[in-house]
Amino acid sequence: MTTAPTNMVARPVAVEFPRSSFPGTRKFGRLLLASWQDALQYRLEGAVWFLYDLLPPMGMLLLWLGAYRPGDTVAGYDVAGMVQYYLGVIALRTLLNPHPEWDIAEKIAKGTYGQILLRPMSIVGYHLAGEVAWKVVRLLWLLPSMAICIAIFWDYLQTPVVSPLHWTAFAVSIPMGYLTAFFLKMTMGYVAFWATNTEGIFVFMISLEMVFTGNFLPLQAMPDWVRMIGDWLPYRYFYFFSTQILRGTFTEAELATGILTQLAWVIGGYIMMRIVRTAGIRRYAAFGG
Amino acid sequence: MATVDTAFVPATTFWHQLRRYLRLYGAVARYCLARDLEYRTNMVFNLFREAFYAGLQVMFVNLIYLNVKSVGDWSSDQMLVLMGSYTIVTNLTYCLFWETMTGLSGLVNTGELDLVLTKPVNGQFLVSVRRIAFMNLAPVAFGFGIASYGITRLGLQPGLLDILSYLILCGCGVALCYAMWFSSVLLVFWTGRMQNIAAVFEPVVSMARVPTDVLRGPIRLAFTFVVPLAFAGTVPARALLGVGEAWHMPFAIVASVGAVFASNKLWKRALREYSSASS
Repeated sequence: MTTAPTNMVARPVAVEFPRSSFPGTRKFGRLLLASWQDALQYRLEGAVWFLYDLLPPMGMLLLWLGAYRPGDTVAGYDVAGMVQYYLGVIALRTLLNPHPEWDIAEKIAKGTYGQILLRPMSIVGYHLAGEVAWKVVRLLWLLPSMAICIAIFWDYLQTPVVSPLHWTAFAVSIPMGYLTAFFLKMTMGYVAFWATNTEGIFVFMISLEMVFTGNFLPLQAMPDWVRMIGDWLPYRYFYFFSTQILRGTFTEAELATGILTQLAWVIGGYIMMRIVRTAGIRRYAAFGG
Repeated sequence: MATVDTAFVPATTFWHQLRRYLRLYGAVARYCLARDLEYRTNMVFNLFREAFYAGLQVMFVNLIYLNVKSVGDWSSDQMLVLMGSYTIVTNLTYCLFWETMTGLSGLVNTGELDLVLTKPVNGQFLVSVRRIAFMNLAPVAFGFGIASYGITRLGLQPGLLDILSYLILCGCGVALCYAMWFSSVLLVFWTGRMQNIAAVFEPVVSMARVPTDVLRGPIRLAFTFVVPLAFAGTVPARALLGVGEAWHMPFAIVASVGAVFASNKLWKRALREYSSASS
């Protein structure tokens, strides 16, 4: 029997990706794998951040359950609809709410963002790979948590009865909701080119997000003036729009308008991000190595 | 003849010890206040910011009452008292312990905990009180304002004994929150790399905004006895509203003393896992 020499140095196992005809796909795949490996090292940290997605909406759901009387319908939701709404918010917020702004702002503040800018790959792809990797880690915690929630609220749950068109629109709205949030938050991150302390700005934006994404209350339960402001902001398209598609209350015309508006926010968000980034890079004086 | 600082003279009796620790805490408070006052504009901004966020929390919950008349047996005015109590207990906890809890992970990972452990005072005391975040006093004041407003709207006039009971229960709530938070942060001694472990407290304690009497079965029992979030909102609020139960006060006192004592046992156990990382 042979034994391995004790001084053998462990070598990283190279994972070969098939060559792709799409430029950048291979790099993105490698970066995604590296980001997964990194994120999995921090899965316990992921559990702590997941609690921020899980517990505040769960608290609001428990409050609502204390408020409903038999037969009540509040803001268009019966009690089962309200339970489904909050479980949907928990699942979609966990999966669709990226946070690239913290990483961007930290790197700009430290002067190390130049390393990202100089890499021969898409900057959006770099941040997207990191964010998607973290979402996979969140899935580790989301899936068992949702299984427990489903067991607890089993009596309130039912499969959404909507047309194939609604299911298709729902499937389309998921990546577009993610990209809406992603580009908006990248833009927020680039504010660090001008502001030295961005934490206060980000926390304030999270407060706005909590209101206008329907995280605390369904937007239908908000005062009219809040809803009117929300109509002019992109937040409702993060994941609230997707929850509403599965309620089946949208007509085909409303679905089309909603999807097109969401697409406009994705494109608008990308353009805004590029403009802010270009302007920021012009005045960026990196001092990190 | 040289004078000797009595704070560092070995104390023998309980009262000597208490006096010594109070003097030490006073020195920490003076240092933190002086540090904050160095940046007055920043401190004023932070005071307003924290009060603003506390206001948002109250607004979020009370928006429910635009749609319904009551949550369980809690009217909107009673809910103001609950939210005021929640704001007082949680922000007093943040004021006293936020910076130290968030810093403990760094102390363990860099080995700087050595500098704490070698001081001639109780290690848990020193890691728990090294910083005071005075900016969180603004939401505490806001919480008292909200609770008072709710009481006034309800037309209640709590007596001196009721107010005293309320303050003691709030104090017990802070002690229980501290024990829960500190115990959870100690996990870093085993895991090593959890830099955000202190952040676990905020979403957990946010559940204290839910009145425990609207919960059912095991969840209600868990919120009272296992993770005693009831004492961070519902129990003090019920005492101020004059609908508290007789067992709340003795249970709160015994539970808070017991929880702090248990956190000390856990701290001593956690220290056995600590291997200094400093040079």
